[in-house]
Amino acid sequence: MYRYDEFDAAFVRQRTEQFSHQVKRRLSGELTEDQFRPLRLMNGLYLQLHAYMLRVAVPYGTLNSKQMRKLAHIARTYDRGYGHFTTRQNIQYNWPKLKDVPAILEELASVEMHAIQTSGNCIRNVTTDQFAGAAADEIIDPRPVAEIIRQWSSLHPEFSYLPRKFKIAITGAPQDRAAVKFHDIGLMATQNDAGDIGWRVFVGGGLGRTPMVAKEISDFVAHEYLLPYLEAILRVYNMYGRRDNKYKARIKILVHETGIETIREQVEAEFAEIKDGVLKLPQGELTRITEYFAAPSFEEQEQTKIDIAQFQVTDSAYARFLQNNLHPHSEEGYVSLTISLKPIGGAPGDATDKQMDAVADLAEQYSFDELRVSHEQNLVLPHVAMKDVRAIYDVLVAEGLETGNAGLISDMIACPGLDYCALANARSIPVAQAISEKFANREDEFGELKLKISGCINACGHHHVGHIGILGVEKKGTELYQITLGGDATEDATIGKILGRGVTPEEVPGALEKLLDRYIAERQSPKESFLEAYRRLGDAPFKEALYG
Amino acid sequence: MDKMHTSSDAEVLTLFKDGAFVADTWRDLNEDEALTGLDHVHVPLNVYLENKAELDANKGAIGLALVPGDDVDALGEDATKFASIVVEFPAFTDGRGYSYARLLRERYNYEGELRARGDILTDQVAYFFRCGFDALTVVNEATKKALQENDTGAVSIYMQPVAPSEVPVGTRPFLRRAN
Amino acid sequence: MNAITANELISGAVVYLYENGDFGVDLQLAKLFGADEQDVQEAMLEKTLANPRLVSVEAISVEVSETGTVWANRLREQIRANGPTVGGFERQTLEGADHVSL
Ligand code: HEM
Ligand code: SF4
Repeated sequence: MYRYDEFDAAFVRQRTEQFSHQVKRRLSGELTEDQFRPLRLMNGLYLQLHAYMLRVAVPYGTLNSKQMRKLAHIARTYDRGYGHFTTRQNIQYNWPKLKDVPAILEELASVEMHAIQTSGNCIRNVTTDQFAGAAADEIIDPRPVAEIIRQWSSLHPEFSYLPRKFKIAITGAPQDRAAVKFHDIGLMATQNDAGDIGWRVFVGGGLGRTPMVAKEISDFVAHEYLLPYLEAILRVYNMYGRRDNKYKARIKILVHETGIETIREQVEAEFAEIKDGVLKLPQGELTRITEYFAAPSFEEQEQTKIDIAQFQVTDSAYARFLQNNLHPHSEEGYVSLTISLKPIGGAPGDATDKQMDAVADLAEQYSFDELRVSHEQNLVLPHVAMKDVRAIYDVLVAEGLETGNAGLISDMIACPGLDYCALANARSIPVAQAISEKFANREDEFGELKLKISGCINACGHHHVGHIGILGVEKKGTELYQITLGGDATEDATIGKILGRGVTPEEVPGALEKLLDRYIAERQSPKESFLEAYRRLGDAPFKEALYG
Repeated sequence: MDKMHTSSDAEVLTLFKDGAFVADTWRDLNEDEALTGLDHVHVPLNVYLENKAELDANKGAIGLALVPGDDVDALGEDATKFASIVVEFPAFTDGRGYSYARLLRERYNYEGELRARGDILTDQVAYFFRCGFDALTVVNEATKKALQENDTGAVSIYMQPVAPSEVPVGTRPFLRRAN
Repeated sequence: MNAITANELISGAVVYLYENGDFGVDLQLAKLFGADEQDVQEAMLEKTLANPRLVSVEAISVEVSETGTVWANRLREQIRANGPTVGGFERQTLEGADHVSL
């Protein structure tokens, strides 16, 4: 993975010092809250309901064991012994004190981490496929390009006061696991007729109160021209994006109101001007960065298959784990292993300091020191030899991390909701817990099912793209939950449709049971997933099941 | 007004240039003012575009005032005719002017004085300079103090190339430091 | 009835304006403003907004039960007053003391 050189280290150190200085000036009263707020937000520090919240970037979701141990140490020392992994491949701490934040940032800097640009109207942490550099279906490892984008966008002087936040996601595989079409810019690896690999560029996707699927702005941009192309898009957005209304300020609205053709013309005109300028990527630099992400030294493996059937009777929990939590690897005899942060009845995405330490140990021992954070709020050991899976599983059991539910209903995404979030209308975590408990014994029956929960229309929990989405709203002072069906975050990007009137918190699990029972009754075979069945049937049978 | 031009009292000086607060010899065009006989006056872009010939005929120095929403491309190479251009930042959150500055400097070869004016926070000072501004008109007291004490706390090395004037560092193609 | 609430700068903890002018973590000790005390409330709100140690200052609607317990009316404020409803976490504590003097 990428290693800081002296320059990167100095850069983050300077930025950390700058923020420490700002905190001091705030505490001494020199800066007012109005002056300080934009500064702290640029450093990932929010004020939530009960306390501050610090959001730490995990660039493109890649970590090593030393970094994970540092995250554990921070949770233990400055927080309450846990952290929350988010859909943005970040980690959030819910209880830091302002006076401790400079120390936390220093600790992070010591392991090449920071909280720069995890908030504010700037280019945010770039996200990618959690199986990047490992997945069998990958055209190219997207991490070198993600790293190049990270560097280019860090404290960019022209693009730090954009109309609104700006999120870029990138995938190197045709199967999109990074929801790129729901980002301001989505990049998808592709091969042109000449056989060269480059990037399809999508623009104007997003969730929030006006969810939109991104539109293709270019069907091929070569690596060397990617930064000028991105700079051209950002410049057009910075100059023409709406600033009169915060809810209409994302690039998706500009693309929607102006039309993709016009935006494409503007971007292409700008691109033509800067294409061969200073941002054109020299091959040498691409090579240099790519070398950081060279495949680890895989060894030839004797074991190249895992026979799940043999455990089905004797150790069904392990069989489920094998069934659900392993992902095909490009290297024979290896798999990527998902560590679910969704224990039945737990808070989705939370991990304790002890669990983080244990996962760091596993990464060091069994996965070439590499770890990933997935946008589905799980952790991943990307390169695991099949022969080691059992040993890893046994450690996971000891740490309470062995839940074999990846991709099932209890592997849901949920935002912090009204238990923590100052913008929330309703709680997410208790609803997630109730659903998880309700279906603990039936989830295999339902098969692949993406459930996503947000506590308000900002949609941090991706509810618009859940096969089943749940949105918390406030009505006459009480919580109410709207159910949407048919959303899909993958390359077949679809926004879910609201089924009908909302239900109370107590009614949510029962409502889902009715929908899922109907699915089971209607499906053509157990192979037809909920999403497929919904696409075939439309919402009529589900409406009837829920509302009679 | 006179006082602004002549006073040496640092308290009232708002123009920061070349490391110090200095007297401002420029003023804005008044509404309904005649467009002849002007000297050291910033003229709004739309006024300029509509009265090019008349303004170009002035003997004195003419400057330009840009506000967010102005079309810098409509000005184009005409930019080089001006001795001073001021870009307005009515709110610190409105970052359009950073793009205007880069276009003026990097595309339209403008080499004169380039001012940012308005709601300027300490944290933004370095961004302004990087995008090509070389003067700031500052009213925010905290920012003034930081500038006076040369204590904006800014990061001095950069991960991306922007202004042509910045100095490359080492062998990585995009790294820069302030000169 | 209303109470005045804020988050304390250093810890971020939820605090309420008390009768004696201090700010502390206990909603039960909060100074309550009746419907006829709009002016006093406004004046106190102004003063609180000017306090550099406090952020996110707001007046919130509360009720007093028959047994004298103060209840925030919105669920959001109940959660601020009692901590998250999941995970068994206590509220954030003030740095070094349980109240802040003005
Ligand atoms: C707890 C403090 C948080 C605050 C104040 C917050 C705020 C917001 C806001 C205001 C939006 C809407 C932006 C817009 O549509 O223009 C948003 C969107 C989003 N946030 Fe959060 N969020 C928080 C936590 C999270 C967490 C925990 C995650 C990850 C689990 C997250 C990930 C996202 C995503 C994925 C979107 C929607 C995608 C998009 O359209 O950009 N946020 N957030
Ligand atoms: S969706 Fe709403 S409630 Fe959930 S984290 Fe985002 S802003 Fe908060």
